[in-house]
Amino acid sequence: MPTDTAVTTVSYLEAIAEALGSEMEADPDVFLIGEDVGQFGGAFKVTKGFLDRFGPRRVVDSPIAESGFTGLACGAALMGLRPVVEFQFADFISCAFDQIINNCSRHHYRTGNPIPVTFRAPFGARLRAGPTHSQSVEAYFAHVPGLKIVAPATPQDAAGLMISAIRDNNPVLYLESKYLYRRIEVPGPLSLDPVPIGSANVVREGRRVSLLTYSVGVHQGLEAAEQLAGEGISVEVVDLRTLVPLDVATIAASVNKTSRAVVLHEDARRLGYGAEIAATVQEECFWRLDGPVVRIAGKNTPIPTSPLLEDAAVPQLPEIISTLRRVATT
Amino acid sequence: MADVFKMPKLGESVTTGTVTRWLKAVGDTVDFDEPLLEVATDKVDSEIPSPYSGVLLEIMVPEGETVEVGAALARIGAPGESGGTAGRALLSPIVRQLAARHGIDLATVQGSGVTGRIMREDVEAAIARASVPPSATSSAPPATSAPSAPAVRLGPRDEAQPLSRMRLAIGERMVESLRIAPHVWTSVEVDMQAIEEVRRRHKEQFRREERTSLTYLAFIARAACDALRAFPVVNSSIDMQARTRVLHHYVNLGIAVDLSEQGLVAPVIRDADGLNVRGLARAIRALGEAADAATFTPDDLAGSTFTITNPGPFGGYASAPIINQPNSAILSANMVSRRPTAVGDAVAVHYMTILGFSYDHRAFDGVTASRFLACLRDMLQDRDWEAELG
Repeated sequence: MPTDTAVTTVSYLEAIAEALGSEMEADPDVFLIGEDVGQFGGAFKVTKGFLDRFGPRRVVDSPIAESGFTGLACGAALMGLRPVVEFQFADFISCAFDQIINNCSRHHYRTGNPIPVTFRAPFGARLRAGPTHSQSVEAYFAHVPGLKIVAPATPQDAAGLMISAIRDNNPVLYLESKYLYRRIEVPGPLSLDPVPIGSANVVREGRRVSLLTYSVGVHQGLEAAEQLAGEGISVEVVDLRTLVPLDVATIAASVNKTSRAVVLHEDARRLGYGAEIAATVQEECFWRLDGPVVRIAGKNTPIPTSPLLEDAAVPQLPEIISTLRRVATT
Repeated sequence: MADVFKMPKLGESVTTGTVTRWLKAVGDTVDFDEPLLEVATDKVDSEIPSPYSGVLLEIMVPEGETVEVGAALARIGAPGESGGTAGRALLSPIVRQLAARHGIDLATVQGSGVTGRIMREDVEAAIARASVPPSATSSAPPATSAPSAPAVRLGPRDEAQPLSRMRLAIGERMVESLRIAPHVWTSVEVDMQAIEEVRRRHKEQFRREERTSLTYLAFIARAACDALRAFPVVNSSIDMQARTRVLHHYVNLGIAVDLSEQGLVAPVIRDADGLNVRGLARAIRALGEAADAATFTPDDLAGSTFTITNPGPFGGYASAPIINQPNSAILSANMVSRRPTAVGDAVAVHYMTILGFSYDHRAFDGVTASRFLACLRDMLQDRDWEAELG
């Protein structure tokens, strides 16, 4: 990225675009495919200008047929290209479930050959978009062997993990938070060094309780930790960054230090990814625990359209603060 | 509802106390004001009466443990009331593991959880208390510990004696004083002949009147108080953190008193600069009596601005004492004996002594130390002591 431009801040969305563009500049095998990624610039304008910059052979507008273009991308990957597939909303990825599960995720295990596809899925709630445009899909796919899943929380990780995802020789599901797109900014310029897949990051050190979270939860967790610090409760916030493979070593080190763990995500609680994390913590850290591992998660309901109900359905700051306080002091 | 009996404040400067002995067992009936336990602070043991009547339901601090003033010691209530607190039985894996590994009796650990549950931090605190000598928590702990000597190897003819609380406290304070204060030792020779003559003339009558001997120490203390008034920086305390030297415009004189070779305390004669030789002799006698009866309170031992140690009666020729913090200097009064000395152009045999003086070089320099000692010497040699005693 040119460093002499007058960019003062980089948003989460701009970071994704910058990483995508830079990988496309660097590697002619990388191409984009998805609904409206070209002329419209993407449903959220992540790929705005890419059509002019890279041409229609590398920025491919597809019909509304997720299964079709996902299958096409998988085939292209088998032929040596590096497709980046955009789903307008993560909710629509279920249309491509068969291609992702039955073809893409097991190909390497079946044949030993690489299949370098990146699936971009803007996910999550809080945008008043209703039950079919607000879903979190990580738990379905985390269950499937053969898929890696990343969920960055910061512009820097959004860029670094995008680069790592594209360069990875096997399929990576890239969960981008559409809520964070334009809400999180960092001072530029952005580093375009890859962030390794499978590495969590302790974003705030603490002693009394570990908050294990990702994506939007990281920002809520940092705010909660700041407020609780005022009460003398020291919260460590671990940004998982990658969900599969999970960085068990970093999680265990944190919980072994604090003896208390709270898992936070927006996805529904029942069989959410937090269940896997809680079970892992229990297996790895049982003898160091000072209390049960606690989950904070979305309600077991579809995401409501009503703003009031949506707010009630996904974790909010007061619940996070009170839960951390209870776990730290009870 | 049971009453919780907390560690009382046993003196102005006392922040912790060690439970040395419980005089009652759990289940015993206790009356108001009946002795319940013995508590030791730095150098003084006290018997603590129960502020409540009832049955001793729970002992929360075991013997030998040191706790902060205000910490819960015991619960006293009606017969049959439950001894434990809610949540006490809920022991988490980490609590069980830490307690087992470090040999902590969880019945003695107080839970800080909202429900009274013992939390990881409570056990860690108990481990920390158990792993340091009790008195270590009673005063400001050293910021960095001195390099430890190699472990003593016990042979068949060696005997390991456990260190008393007082030995531990003395050890810690001496190491700490040497660590924080750059000590310089100097000394002055004093001709005590004039004092000896006054002493000889007055000692019989003095003993009748005061029931104590007229010692050299009383004269030296008197002269020291006046010299301290003339050299206020010698009667000061250094506070490096505050970047200040605190001048004390009064002399609270610490006198080191031996406790039958089991230890040493330095009780304080307050406003000693307002006393004459007779007053000082009385005060010194009172200290000795208190030492014999072991009735010092922690407040008797706190607040000195300058200290005199007195190895003289035991025959020391010259000695270099360690400063009693937070003083800036300490004087040692050594043996007074007959020695040849030059008087005019002749050699005479006079009662002579060496006064030793250790000072904190942060507080003042050698020239001040020398001038202070010269002033002290001149007062001892030249003052009309007869007039003071008459």
